Amino acid sequence: MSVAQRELPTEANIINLGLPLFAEAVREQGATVTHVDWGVPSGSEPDVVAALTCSYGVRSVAFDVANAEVIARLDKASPVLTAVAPAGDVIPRLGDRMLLHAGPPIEYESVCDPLRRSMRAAVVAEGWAIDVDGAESLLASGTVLLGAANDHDTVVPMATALGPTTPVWVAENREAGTRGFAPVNQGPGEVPWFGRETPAAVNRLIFLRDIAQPRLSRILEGLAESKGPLDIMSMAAQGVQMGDDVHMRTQATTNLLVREMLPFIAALGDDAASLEFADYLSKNHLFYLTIAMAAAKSLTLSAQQVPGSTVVTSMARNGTTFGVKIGASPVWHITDAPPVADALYYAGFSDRDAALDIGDSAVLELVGLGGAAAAGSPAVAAFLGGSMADAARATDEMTRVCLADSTRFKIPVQGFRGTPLAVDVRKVVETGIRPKVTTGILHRSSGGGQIGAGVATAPIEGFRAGLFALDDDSAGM
Amino acid sequence: MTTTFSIRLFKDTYLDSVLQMSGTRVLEESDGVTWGSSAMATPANIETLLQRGFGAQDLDGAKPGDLFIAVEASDETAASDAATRAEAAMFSSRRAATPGLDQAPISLDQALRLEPSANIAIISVPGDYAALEANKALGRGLDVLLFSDNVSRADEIALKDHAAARGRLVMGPGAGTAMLAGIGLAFANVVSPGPVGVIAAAGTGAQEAMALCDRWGVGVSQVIGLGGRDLNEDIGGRMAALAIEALKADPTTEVILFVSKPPAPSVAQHVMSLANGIPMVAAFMGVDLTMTAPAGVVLADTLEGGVLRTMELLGRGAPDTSVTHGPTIAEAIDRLPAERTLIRGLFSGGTLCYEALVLLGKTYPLPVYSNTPIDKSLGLPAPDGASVLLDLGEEEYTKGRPHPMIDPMARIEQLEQAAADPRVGVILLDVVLGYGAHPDPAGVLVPIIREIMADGGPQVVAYVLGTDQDPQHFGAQVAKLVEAGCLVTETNARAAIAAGAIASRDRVKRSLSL
Repeated sequence: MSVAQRELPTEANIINLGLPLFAEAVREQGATVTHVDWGVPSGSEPDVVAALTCSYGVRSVAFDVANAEVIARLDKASPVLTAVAPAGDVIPRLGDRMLLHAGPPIEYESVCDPLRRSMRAAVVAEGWAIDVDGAESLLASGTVLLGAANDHDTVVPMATALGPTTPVWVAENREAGTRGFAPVNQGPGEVPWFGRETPAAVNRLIFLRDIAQPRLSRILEGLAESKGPLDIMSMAAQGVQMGDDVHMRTQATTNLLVREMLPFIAALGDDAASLEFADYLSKNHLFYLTIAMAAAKSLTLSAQQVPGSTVVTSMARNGTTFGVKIGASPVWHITDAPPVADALYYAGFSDRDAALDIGDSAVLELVGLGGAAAAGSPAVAAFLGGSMADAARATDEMTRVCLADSTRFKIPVQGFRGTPLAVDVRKVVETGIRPKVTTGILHRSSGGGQIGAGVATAPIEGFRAGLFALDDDSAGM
Repeated sequence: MTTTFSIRLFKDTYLDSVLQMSGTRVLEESDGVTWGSSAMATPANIETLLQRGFGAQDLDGAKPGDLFIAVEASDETAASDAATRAEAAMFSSRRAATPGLDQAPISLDQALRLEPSANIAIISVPGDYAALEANKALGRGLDVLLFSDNVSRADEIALKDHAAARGRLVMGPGAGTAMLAGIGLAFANVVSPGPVGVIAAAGTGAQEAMALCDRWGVGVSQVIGLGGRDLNEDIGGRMAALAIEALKADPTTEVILFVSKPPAPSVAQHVMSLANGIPMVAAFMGVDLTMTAPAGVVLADTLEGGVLRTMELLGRGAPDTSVTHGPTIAEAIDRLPAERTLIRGLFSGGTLCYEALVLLGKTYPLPVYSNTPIDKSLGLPAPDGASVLLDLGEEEYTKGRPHPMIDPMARIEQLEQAAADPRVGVILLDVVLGYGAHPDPAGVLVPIIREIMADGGPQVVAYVLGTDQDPQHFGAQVAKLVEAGCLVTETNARAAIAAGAIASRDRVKRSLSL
C-alpha cells in the first residue's frame, strides 16, 4: 500500500515540538535541532482540531497535488490587459437590468446604506431612472436584479455598483483560458464607490462611460500595437519593488502605466473632454487598483478550475456579509461582515459613523499582493502602525497562512524574498490568522463618502465552515 | 592589587534565568575574575552593583527589562575576556535554539523555513493536538517520533496509514525511544554502530535491547519504536510493517531484533511473515516458544534471550549473562532476617517491569502482583503478604510528579515504604541511563539504599540499563550501587531471577538459560 520509497535518514536534522529536554538530548549528541516554542492551535475546539487533523492526514497527499497546481497557476500565469469595454459586452450572464456588487449575493433590503446609494447612482447613470428617488423605487421593487460580481468573473472595489454600460477592464489569463473583469476606477472625491449619490457622483459614472472609456480604448490599442498587450502582474511586480503593495498603494504602478500610456494620451488632442480625461488620470492615484484586481480575478478563476485544493479562491465583503470560497467549490461560506478595526478617522468621525467592511479588493491578498506585500511598502507601514516592523509583521502573518512564496513579487527590504501566496484555509483556521485587508471606511448612513481607513480582519467562522466543507466534499468523492 | 569594575548593558534583552546563571558561572570560572554576575537590571540588582563599587554612570538609564554582565577583575583584559565569554555562552544557546531569528519558531512550518532540510520530528505536545502535529510533519516529509500519548486508536490508525502513503515512519503514539542516523531520539542509550536493527513496541524494551547489544560488543544500526498499541489487533502492526520494510531497505542493517510483549496471535504471524528475506529475532516476552514461526524467524521469550539469539545469528560468541557485582545470591540470603521473604519491585521502565514479571512467573514459586499484571487476576490491591512489582512510570504514579526515569527522587517514598515492611526481603530496582534520563540516578538512590539496607533491612537487587558511552557512564553507575551494597546483575532478566532466588532462599546458582 505504500506509494513512496521508504528510506531512513542518513543524517538527523530534527525539529522538536514539546518537551525541551528532547531537543537538548539530541543537541548534545551533535545533531542539528530546531526547537519549536509550540502553543495550542487557535482553533482548539475538539471539532475544529478533528477537522484539521483529518485535513492534514492521508487526504493531504491529494491536497498537496492540487495545491501545487494552484500555486503554479497563481504564481506563473501572466494575465494581459486586452480591452476596456462596456460591462454588458463582456461580462458573462450580466442581464440588461442588472447591477453587480461586491461580496456574496444579497437582497436589496439587506444592502447597506453606502452601497444602496451607489446602486441608485448607477441606476440613474444607466438611464433606468431620472433621479435617485426613482432609482430607489426600481431597486426596492426588485425590477433591477442584483448579482455578486464574483459570480460573474468580476471583482469591484468598495461600494461599486456595476451596470451594463460601466466600462470594465478585461484581464485575459491565456494560460488557463480565464478572463477577469473589474470596473475602471472612479477616482477620488464625490464618487459612488465611496457611497455617494450626488449629481457629481452620477456625473462621474457618465464621464467614465462617455469620455474615459473611448479614450482608454484608443490608448490600449496604441499600447498593444507598439508593445503588445500590457502584462499586468509584471508591471505590478515592478511597483512592488518601488514600494507599492498594489492594493492600498498603487502610486508607483499607476505612474509606470501612465508613463507607458503618455504618447497615446498626448495623441488624444487638447479638446475639453480629453483634458478632462487627463485631469481625471492625473488625480487618480489608485488607477491601477482595479486593473490589478481584474488580473487577480483571472488568476483565482484559474485556481477554481483545480478540484480538491484547500486554497482560498474568493474572499469578499458586501457591507453586510463576508464570504469565502475554497478551492473549486462554488459555495460561499458566509458570515457577518466585520467592522473595520485599527481605524484612522477623518476629524469629526468615529467608529459610530462607520459602515461595515465592503469590497472585493481582497482578491489581491489571495495572489501575493496587498497585505502579502506590506513589508516592502513604507506607505502601508505608516498606516499599519508606523514602523517597517509593523509592515513586516503583516507580511509575516500572511506567510504563516500561505503555502508558497511568489516568484515574481519580491520585497527588496527582505532580501528580495517573494511575497506569500496561496492562502490555505487549514492554516487560517489553525493559526487564527485571517488575511488582513487594508481598506477605506465609508459613512454608514449620511452618504458623505469616505470617513477614514483601517484594517479589516475577516471573521474566522467562514474559514471554519470552509474547512468543515472539505470533509463534506471528500465524503461525496 | 587594584580591581577593575566593568559592566555591559543589553537594552531590552531578556534571557531565561537559567541562561543568566550560566553567564554568571562563566564569569566566576574566568581567570582573574573576583566577582561576576549576569542578571536583569532590577532595582535590587542595581543597588547591589552600586554597593559593590560599580560606577553609577555605567548603570545610567538601566531598566528592569535590560540585561547586564558585571565583572570585578584584576585588570581590564581579564574583565573584558570574561564578559565576552559570558555573553557568548548566554547568547549562543539562544541562537542555537533559534538560528537566524529573534524569536523561537512557534510552528512546525516556521521551523522548516529555518531548517528546510529537517527530516525528523520529535513530538511531545499534549495528546489532543499530537495527531494534528504528527500529520503535518508527515505531510512535510519528516519521519516522526510521537512521544505523546492519549491519542485515539482511530487517530493512530489514520496516522499510520498516512505515514504508509508518504513512505515515512510514525513511531508512536507513546513511543519513548528511537535511534535514526546514529542519533538517539527521546530516551535513548549511546551505542556503537553495527548490524542490528531494533524494532520495539515500547521504550525501555528498545533501550534494553540496544544497551545489551552494545555492551556485548555487537552494534546497532537503527532503533525504531512502534508505540505500545501497534501490535494490538485493531492497529494490526501497521507501524511494525513500515519498520520492517525500512530496515530491509537499510544497507546498514543485517538482522532485525523485534522486541515486544506477545502481540495478538494473528498480528504476530503477520509481522513475522514480513521479515521474509532478512533474518529476524522475534523476542515476544513470555511467549510460548513452541509457537510456529516462519522460516528465518527465531523466537525468544525475554529481552536477554532476544539479544543472545541475535548474536548467534551473527555468529558472535555468547557473553556470560550470569555475572553479578556486589554480594552473591548466597551472601544476600545470609544477610536477610528469616521473616523477610517478599519481593518489592520498583520499576521506572514499563517493559523492564513486564519482563521481570515474566521471569518471576517462571522461577519464583509464589504469585507476584502488579499494577500492570500479565495475569489480570494478579492486579492491585495485592493481598496482604504478597510480592508486588510496580511500574512507577504508569500514570497513577506520575500525576503531578516527574517520571522516575527523569527524577529518581520519585522512587524514594516507595523505597522507604517498602523497607518499612518487615516482611520485605528483596527490593528490585532498575536504573535507566542514557539521554533523557537523570544525569546521576545511582547517585540519588545510593544514600537511601544504604539507609534501608542497614541493620537487617531488605537486600537491594539492581539492574543498570546503560552503556559506557552514556553520559552517566554504565561502569560508574554500577560501581556506586555496588559500593552501597546492592547486588547488580548483567541484565534485567537476571535481576528478576536473582530477586526470586533470594526471596525464596534458593541457594542453587540459577543457570537458567534464556
